[in-house]
Amino acid sequence: MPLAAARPILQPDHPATAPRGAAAPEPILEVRDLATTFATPRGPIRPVDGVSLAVAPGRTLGIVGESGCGKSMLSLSLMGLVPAPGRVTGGSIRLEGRELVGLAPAAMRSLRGRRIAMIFQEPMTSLNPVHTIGYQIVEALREHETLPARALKEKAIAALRQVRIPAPERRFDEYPHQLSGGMRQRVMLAMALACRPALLIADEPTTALDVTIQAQILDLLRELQAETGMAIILITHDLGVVAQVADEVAVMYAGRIVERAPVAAIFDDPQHPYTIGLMGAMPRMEDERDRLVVIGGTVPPPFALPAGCRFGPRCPFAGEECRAAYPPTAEIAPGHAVACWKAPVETQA
Amino acid sequence: MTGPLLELDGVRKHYPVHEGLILRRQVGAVRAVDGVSLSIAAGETLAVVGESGCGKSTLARLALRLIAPSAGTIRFDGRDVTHDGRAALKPLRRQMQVIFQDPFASLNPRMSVEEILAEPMLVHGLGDAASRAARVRELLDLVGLARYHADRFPHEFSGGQRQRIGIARALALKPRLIVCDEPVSALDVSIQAQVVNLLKDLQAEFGLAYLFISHGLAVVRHMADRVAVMYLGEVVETAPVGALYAAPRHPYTQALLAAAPVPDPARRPARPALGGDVPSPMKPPAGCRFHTRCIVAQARCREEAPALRTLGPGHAAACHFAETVPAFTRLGAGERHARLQARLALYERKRAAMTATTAA
Ligand SMILES: Nc1ncnc2c1ncn2[C@@H]1O[C@H](COP(=O)(O)OP(=O)(O)O)[C@@H](O)[C@H]1O
Ligand SMILES: Nc1ncnc2c1ncn2[C@@H]1O[C@H](COP(=O)(O)OP(=O)(O)O)[C@@H](O)[C@H]1O
Ligand code: SF4
Ligand SMILES: [Mg+2]
Ligand SMILES: [Mg+2]
Repeated sequence: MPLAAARPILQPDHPATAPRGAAAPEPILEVRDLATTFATPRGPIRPVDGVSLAVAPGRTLGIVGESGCGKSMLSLSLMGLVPAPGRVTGGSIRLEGRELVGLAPAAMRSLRGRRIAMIFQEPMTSLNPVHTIGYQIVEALREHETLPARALKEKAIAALRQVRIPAPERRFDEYPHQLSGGMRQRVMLAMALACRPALLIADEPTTALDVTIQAQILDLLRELQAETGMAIILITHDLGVVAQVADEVAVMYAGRIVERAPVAAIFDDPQHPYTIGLMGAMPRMEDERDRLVVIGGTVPPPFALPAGCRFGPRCPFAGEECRAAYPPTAEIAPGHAVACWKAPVETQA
Repeated sequence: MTGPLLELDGVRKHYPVHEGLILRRQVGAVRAVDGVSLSIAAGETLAVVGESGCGKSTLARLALRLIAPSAGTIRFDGRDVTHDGRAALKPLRRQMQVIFQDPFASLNPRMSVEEILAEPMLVHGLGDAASRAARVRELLDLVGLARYHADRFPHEFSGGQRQRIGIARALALKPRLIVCDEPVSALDVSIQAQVVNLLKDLQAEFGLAYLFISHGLAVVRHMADRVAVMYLGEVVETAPVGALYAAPRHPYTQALLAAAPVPDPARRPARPALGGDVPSPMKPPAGCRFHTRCIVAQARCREEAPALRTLGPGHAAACHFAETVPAFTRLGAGERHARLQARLALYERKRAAMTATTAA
């Protein structure tokens, strides 16, 4: 089995983000050829392996893919929070024009929360059960602001009010276990947004919630984005959620972006066989009781990647060239890029 | 004329809640399941949907008679099993099995797949070593696992494969009913599709009945013959699957359907359909339990609990205004885009060819 070690860290065949339409604002975040590496007993592995993407203010980039594709590791890489012994080993992350790769830890800490913030799937694990939520928001604010205690408390209550938590003065003194899952996610959001970051990374923020509560949280994210103009990276495995909130979509597979497009194009004109398979596997309420399309097999772990196209062993279209080399990323329409030897698949019919 | 395979009649399960460390005083009860009646025919799939905490898992455990109800009657194959003890339930256990959401938690990590699959037969004293081994091989084939998997242990498998092991174990005793408690909720869509297709194939082959519990409404659309919608321990609407999705009559059902994201970026709803959280099942609201969140609620709803009323063939809803609530049409209940349809068809053709060559 060829190991990831054999490959160069930077993938020169991964071009930078596609140019946007003339009206599109300048990206606030630009990521190029990002690689994150872990030394393991089996050799170095790269859960993020040459990722390029961009997001503009007021826009939402959805990142989809099955579990194990590297979505969380990508967001931790952007936040400068890759757990040891992993580290970002290549590429560039530019936030508001400033390079984050190689930034001193103190400088990164000062940006986190202030310019770039993150919420996770399970708010309970990120909230401390022994402190009131008010205390925790105040502590988060204190990282970046030197204000008297009363002003900090007022700011924290304003943050709770901003995420539409009813009776925020009372909630301030409550403990995480006294809140429902949806309320806890709102608290996380209040904490993440208290310092008005320019970019919010939301890693499966609604996966653990009921659809009814999910709809409320997604709506809240939309409203807050309209109010503040923040950019959002929303990570999910649910294409329905992507359809509802994303402006652009990146499909991630085994550490790489295999397709990137405006949201309408992803649903209307999916090019990569993996994207097509995901579309077919998703059950739809609109459908009669027919069989679902299956993607055979599972995502390969980063220490057992196949040669050539990483989706190859699961791909119904795979041929010789797919086994020989990783496909280059081609831009097939403005903002629509795909990394597949066989796209468009009609040529294979 | 054969009756239903499983029948629940006015079933309740209340969990007492105590307070105080020394003098444990009962201060109330969680009304986890609060007067549910439903039935499942042989070979049929009844889906139960609702938000978390509405009593779905408790209902599953009652149906399996893993717990005893506080009130009501449970009949299996016409026999009243409500008060049966361990010994009397043993033959019943052969006929009804369960699949859980988290297969890992339900599989003994120290047992090989072979031991896991043979265990139910051992417990029931079925067959000899050779016939059990043969059955294990048969079960592996049925769920799409390889024979060499028999010697492996649960941790060596992916989530989807573990769920296949869980399904194989449930099939070991040739049951007539399988209770599936969120069997695909923890799986990625691609794996979920594999498991959903497998469950449907097995049902067609063995005439299994499923009590299929899920919070995924789209999955239910693909799996179920009939659906029961639960809210705070009660069934608020029940209908054949087609009627439920085409013409839901309970405002809660409508809200649930509206909340599920439409996989079409051209159709985004203006506002979420349902505000607030589910109230505590310890103090369910008076009158209609849904009235605190209901957009059509009137004064009457705060006082009088609506009964489940028949509205059509197999269709009943518990809402005072079930006949007059505005019809609900899900946004964009439209066709898939033609180009996507064509690509999916091509994908399926290519995939069929691929599995044919790898199987050969
Ligand atoms: N701390 C770690 N050390 C080594 N490998 C890791 C670590 N965390 C995650 N991985 C691996 O990185 C890959 C991507 O994981 P992750 O980013 O969590 O995927 P996703 O969020 O898409 O489900 C997986 O194969 C996972 O096993
Ligand atoms: N053993 C128990 N003791 C006390 N309360 C319980 C117990 N099991 C479930 N409950 C409560 O009963 C309600 C219904 O739970 P459950 O049946 O698990 O719902 P669901 O499966 O729909 O999420 C919840 O409020 C839950 O906390
Ligand atoms: S490059 Fe080949 S293997 Fe990869 S997705 Fe395209 S057709 Fe399939
Ligand atoms: Mg993740
Ligand atoms: Mg449950």
